[in-house]
Amino acid sequence: MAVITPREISRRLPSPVVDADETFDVVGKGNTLATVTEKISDAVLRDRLRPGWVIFLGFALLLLATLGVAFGGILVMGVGLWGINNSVGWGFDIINFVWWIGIGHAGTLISAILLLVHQNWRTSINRFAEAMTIFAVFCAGLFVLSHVGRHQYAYWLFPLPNSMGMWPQFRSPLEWDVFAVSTYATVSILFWYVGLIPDLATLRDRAVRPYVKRFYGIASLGWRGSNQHWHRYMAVYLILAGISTPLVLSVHSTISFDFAFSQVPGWHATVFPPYFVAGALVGGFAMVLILAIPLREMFNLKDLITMRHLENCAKILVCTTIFVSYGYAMEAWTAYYSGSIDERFMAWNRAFGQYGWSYWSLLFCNAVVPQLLWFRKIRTNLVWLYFISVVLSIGMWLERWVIIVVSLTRTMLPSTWHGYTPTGWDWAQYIGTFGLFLTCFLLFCRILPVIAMAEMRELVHHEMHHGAHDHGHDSAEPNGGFSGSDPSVAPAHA
Amino acid sequence: MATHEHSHERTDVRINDLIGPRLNALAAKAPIFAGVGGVLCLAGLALTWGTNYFLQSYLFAFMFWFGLTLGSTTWLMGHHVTGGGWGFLIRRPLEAASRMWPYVFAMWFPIGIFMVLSMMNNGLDASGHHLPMNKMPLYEWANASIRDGDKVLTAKSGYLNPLGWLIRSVLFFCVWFGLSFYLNKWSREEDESYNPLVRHRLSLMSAVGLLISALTITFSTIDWVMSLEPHWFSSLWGLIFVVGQGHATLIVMVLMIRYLAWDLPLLKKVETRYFRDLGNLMLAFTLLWAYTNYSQFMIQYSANIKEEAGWQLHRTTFGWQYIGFGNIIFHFAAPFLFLLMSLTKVNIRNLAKLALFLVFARHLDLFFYIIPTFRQSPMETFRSFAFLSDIGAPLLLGGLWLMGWSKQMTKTNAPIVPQFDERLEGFWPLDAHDHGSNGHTPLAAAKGVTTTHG
Amino acid sequence: MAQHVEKSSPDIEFPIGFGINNRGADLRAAEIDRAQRKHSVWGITAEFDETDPLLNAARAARKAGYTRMDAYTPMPVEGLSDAIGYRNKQMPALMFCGGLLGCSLGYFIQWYSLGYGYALNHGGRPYHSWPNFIVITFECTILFTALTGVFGMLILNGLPTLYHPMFNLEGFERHSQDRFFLTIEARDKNFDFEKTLAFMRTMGALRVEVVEK
Repeated sequence: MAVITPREISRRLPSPVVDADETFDVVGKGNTLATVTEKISDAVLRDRLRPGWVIFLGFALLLLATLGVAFGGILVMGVGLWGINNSVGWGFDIINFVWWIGIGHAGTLISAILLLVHQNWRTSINRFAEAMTIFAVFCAGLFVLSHVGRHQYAYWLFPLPNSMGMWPQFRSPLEWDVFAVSTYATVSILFWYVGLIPDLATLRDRAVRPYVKRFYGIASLGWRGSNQHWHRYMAVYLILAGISTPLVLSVHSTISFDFAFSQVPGWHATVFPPYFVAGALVGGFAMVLILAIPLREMFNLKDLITMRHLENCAKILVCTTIFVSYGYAMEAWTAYYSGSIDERFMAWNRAFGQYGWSYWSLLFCNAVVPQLLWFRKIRTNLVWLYFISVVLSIGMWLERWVIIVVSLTRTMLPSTWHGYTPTGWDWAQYIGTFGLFLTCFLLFCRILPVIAMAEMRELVHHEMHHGAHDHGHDSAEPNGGFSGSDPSVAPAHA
Repeated sequence: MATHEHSHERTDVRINDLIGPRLNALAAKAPIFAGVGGVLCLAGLALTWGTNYFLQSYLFAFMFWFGLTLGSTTWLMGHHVTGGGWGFLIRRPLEAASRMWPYVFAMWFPIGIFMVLSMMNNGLDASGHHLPMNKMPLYEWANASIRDGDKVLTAKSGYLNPLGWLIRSVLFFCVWFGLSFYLNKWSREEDESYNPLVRHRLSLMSAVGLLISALTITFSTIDWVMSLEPHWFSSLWGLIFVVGQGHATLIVMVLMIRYLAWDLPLLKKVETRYFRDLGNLMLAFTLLWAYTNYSQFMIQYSANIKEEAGWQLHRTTFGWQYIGFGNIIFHFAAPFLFLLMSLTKVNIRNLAKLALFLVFARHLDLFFYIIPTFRQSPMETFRSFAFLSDIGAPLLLGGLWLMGWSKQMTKTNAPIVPQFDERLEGFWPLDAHDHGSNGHTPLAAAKGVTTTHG
Repeated sequence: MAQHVEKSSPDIEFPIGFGINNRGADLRAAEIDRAQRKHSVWGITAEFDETDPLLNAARAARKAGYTRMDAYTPMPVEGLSDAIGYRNKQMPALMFCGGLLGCSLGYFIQWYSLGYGYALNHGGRPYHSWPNFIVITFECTILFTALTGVFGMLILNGLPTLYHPMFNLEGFERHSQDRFFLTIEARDKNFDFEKTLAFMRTMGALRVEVVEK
């Protein structure tokens, strides 16, 4: 076969259309230890308050106030304010809980799983993705906290010895959820904070104003980059990544058990655990893109969060949306294959019943639209990418709506059939959690480094010394601990 | 499939240069396994004449070696899409395995023929009575007399009917053959010269192919295994088999590297992290296996619905629970602990020890899925002489498969690594600093270890 | 404020006489001055701007018999522990123990409470229905592993420690940005102020400094 000229190749291969200042490298060229440190920490220490940020924060605080009202109303008057009824006992509360916590999972995937599989491009997005995880778990937690109804007894969920001699029902996946979500929140915060310690030390060392210096000094616990400290630190960091990986699987699987353990048609399906996990990642990566695209513009981080990162997130979205589409197919197929009237009616009701519009919209959002991402021109077009991410977020919300509400409106006993309409309180709390999320995120952008500096330095150091040979593939390891390449430190789980 | 006229121009190492004699030895040894297995099967067939015990054993053995072939095709596509370094270690063996489809189709014939027979006799004996369970064809729904008396089976007879089953089965084989045909054809093309278009084509087809593969694994295993108990259903089924087949392929490939190439200087130069990747993949599949099986069990155990719970109940009573516990220990606990303990000192010999053990565990897993359908308790296996074919059938099919595989390896005699795949650069460490003229491949450095080349 | 910004810019100027090639009067004066303050010395540090010279220096110092030394780096450096001769495998073992504790506690509480403390018949399942106990046991294992790991690491590292002699060093703030420091501590058996200082000056460092208590 004749060798084809490069010109011919470039003509026939699809080529991306991007701005001149964009790069497909993991890190923009010409970066050194000093420049990455400067760029990232200056966004916190030297940047003036931007009017855009202030307006955004004001808007977020307004939404947060809405949450205060909505949550306060539920605490004072009870869940009767919501649109739920005897048949549809789970409505917006659980939809939004699952939606938010799913968003969080992408953060853990980026910070833990991609670390273990040597995907060094994760380095510049893991910090804010982890922050996203924690804030999303906060939002999710508010929903479960408010939906228990009699909030004064919420502590009964925990196995505390009491004078009544009662214990929680440990056989119930709802109880498993208490353990799974609280463990997830704790481990995510620990993982995040451990990652932050060296960066807080950098901020301490670069801060000018004494009170700022003192703040970061205390927060960094006096970190001094000692080799002995790094040694233990890396061992812990890698093991935390190792255990976070099954943890994130277990959390969303447990949430899926909440539904799948029941006999409700539309809830009881064995495919739920992996399908929920994949769905969580769809929502999460969509949110990563929704946050990353403006973030890199706002803080001028285009050569640290590069097109490579955005494109890889888009690729992950293609995989995960195909996986959830497989889940939709299996649900519908099993309804037929089961030969059971109830299952088959459930599938019919989803598509052609009262809420049929939501099923078709969900298929459009989650199965059809993301297929556009197969095209590199769309993957590398920020407007399209942003638009598709928003569509996917809506789609994932609709998925939970279809599973939770639509299934409950038509269960096995026709006399219990009942519709569901969310009330203003439902909407207020949902919209309000955006306020909580945005407020936390905007404060995070100003107070903490949005990119993990120590890891970035390691990556840049590696690129400076070995970059030429590893250009163009993802399997290269950064030079040292964060990639798990030091076998004496810790096992690398997959 | 593809030809290699251009080999004289190239300075690369080919499969036969390195492991040709070993492959020939394997091709010579494999028939012995097949022969022993065949004798055991014949003895079993004679001793259990008039029942379907042999066919039960055959089905479970078939599911392993068929799964290996389909798993190889899937892994191959997975490698084309991701380009991970570990894939270059096993790409050629995978390709050879993916060329086994004609053989596997032939292996499927006994099952297919029985389906045709069951279409004819309808599950009734000469005097018009239902045949007892152990004398019926494998798939009870295939008998019109049973199907018609059963509301659920009638409801799904649009899918579960013998003709549909046969058509689908043949269609699956056509799809798999087509996929592997192009995978191999284009891979040979890629070996000819540097051509990123071929690479692009391979990656794109593999991405679509993975989707096709997931769907066909799902529906073929629903047809061939899940429908053995036609009232039972599980929407996780397809994924359980995707994981199972991926696992089976991985362990067999590790074994192949170990027994065919472990002492090659070439292999010793490969960075240890790629073996660690293989170890990590084995760990990942061990965990995924546990995860999917636990999820399926737990959901059905907790919901306690009549149609589903029966399947689980049978597998947790009558002695089957011990097979189940064995499964947990051999397929999950032991490999998990082994991998966790040895992760820091992963090498191919360690992995191979585990892999050999896991080949047994994979069989046990398939046994646990398939056989309880037909046998009240595991003890029936011994009472009825079914154990002869239970041992014989895997040996028979395995011997035949390995013989075909090693012949495929030697026949193609492809370069040991796809030297024109750009992504090889990251993997192949031998002279990473020396990228000279077009003809000078990294493999030139490996030449030192061989005496001749193609 | 502007001064501080300048200080952290890459082309910092070092005081004349601290370099290895400058053996002027300033240097001698400084040395005498240091010798007088010998008793207050915590260690001697060398500053590098790259990992390779740091690793070489660490190897050389180890070869020369120094054991009480530590490096201060802006990121984990591969092979540095080996070069210094620091071996420590506490963390995996500690975390394993933590995990084991969590695992046993998690399982025990379920086994006890549902089997004995508050036995309920739940759909006819056995009181000791172990498949139901797996998830919480798993979560407890993870939780305890993570907690022991993070707090164990902090405690063993002696953090939080807001004061440390190294912070006395002028320019040490770059240890968390782009500079690498190797310090031989005064408590080392082989530590001798003059010899160690001379030894450190042969390492090709940007500068060699005395760290005071």
